[in-house]
Amino acid sequence: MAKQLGFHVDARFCAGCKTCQIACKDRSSLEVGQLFRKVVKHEEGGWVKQDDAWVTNVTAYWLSVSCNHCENPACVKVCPTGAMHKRAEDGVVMVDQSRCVGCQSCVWACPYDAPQYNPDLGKVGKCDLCADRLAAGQRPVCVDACPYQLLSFGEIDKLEAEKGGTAAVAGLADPKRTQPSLRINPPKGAINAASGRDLK
Amino acid sequence: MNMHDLPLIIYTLCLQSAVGIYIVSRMAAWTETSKAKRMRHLWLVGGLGVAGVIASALHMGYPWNAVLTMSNLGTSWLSREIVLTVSFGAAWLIGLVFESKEAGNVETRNGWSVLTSLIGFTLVFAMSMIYRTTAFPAWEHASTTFGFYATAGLIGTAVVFAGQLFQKGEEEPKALLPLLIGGVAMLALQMMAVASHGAYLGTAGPEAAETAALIAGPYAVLQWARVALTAIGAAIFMPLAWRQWAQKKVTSVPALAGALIALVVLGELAGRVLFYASRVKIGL
Repeated sequence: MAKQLGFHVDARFCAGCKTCQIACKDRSSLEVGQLFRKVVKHEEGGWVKQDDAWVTNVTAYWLSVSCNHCENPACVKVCPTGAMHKRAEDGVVMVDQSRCVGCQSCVWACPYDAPQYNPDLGKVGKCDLCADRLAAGQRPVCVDACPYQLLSFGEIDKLEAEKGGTAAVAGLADPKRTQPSLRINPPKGAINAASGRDLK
Repeated sequence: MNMHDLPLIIYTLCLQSAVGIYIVSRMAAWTETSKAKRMRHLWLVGGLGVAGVIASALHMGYPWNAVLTMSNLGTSWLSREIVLTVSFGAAWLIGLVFESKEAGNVETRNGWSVLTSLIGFTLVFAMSMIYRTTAFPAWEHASTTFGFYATAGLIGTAVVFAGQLFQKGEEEPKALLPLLIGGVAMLALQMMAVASHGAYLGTAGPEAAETAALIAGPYAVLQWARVALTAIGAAIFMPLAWRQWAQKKVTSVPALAGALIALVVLGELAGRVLFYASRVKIGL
């Protein structure tokens, strides 16, 4: 299989400081309403009956998510102009804005809200895994910015072998939809949550 | 309603109406030989197509790249839809020239109308697949396809039926009963699509459940308007107009015909606004 770059997030210790989100937004000079990386809070649970008692199974955690450079990217499939494409050499999903028509098909198709419509340009932008920094031998800015160093990037198979993790985390889309190049070490309660909530 | 959806509402309704009116009007004119009768409804189809295409251009953020939108026919239903829209438009135009010049014999022109109809039929399918391949669970169901076909069929039969009743002179309206049966069948298809969509929403996860709650709650008026208006138009006004015509009460028929078009079109408009307004995306 060709090389596939992706992200690993150790969500067990994420405090939701959003430094990664801000670093990304700053680097990409994004206007209000556009984020290439988002830190979102996931909450679920409630009171459940256990034998004769009512107990809580409430859980909440932070997830830092950007484009997952999916193996089977929905955005690339639906893009009518071919602006959205997957780079052969490293599997990074890129958008060629010179071809974008601003139809937002990719925005509708992505279950991770990765493509972001820029109304000033009339075109879509997204995380390109900081392609220029990669070319210069640097890490993506979000990875560099995390004060806890919970974000990693690299070949997804190697990341998984080294750090473990899964993309099947409550709060995210079912990974069978697009096969995201994302591995998360999930916080307690994130998988098979006691409330029985299904993956999206 | 998100105003960004307005061009898409206009585009889908106009193109589906154009396809429906084209197919039904060609069936109604199948055995006709006079130029005037065979040309009937063709200009309306063209006008709806042009209005829809103009609206679709307004949806694009950067329409100057529109020429590139046919570049991904391998996987993009939007690319396929655009190619089919252009093809339907071209086939309609050629057919219009054939009919206006009375080129060839009637069989040849009927053959061309079959080809154009097939392109239109495929266009409606492609249109539905655009929505079925998004991350909106409410749209990912077969009822999207059936609903789009029902819209085309309902508006097509209503307009052609009404058009028969607006004929001038001593000319007798033709094919009213088959059109009436067709209209009621299309209404049944639309109601089946609505019912199966409702059943599906209960099984398709939390976002679909949110859509169901929107349809049952704040947008219930649109759902009921869609059901009531199309049902009154196709199942009450259409049979009533047919009965009045059969009983030779000719004077009141044009008013009924106009009303049934208005009811069906308004009902379908309510349904389409609801389609866009009630979507809930899988997201973060």
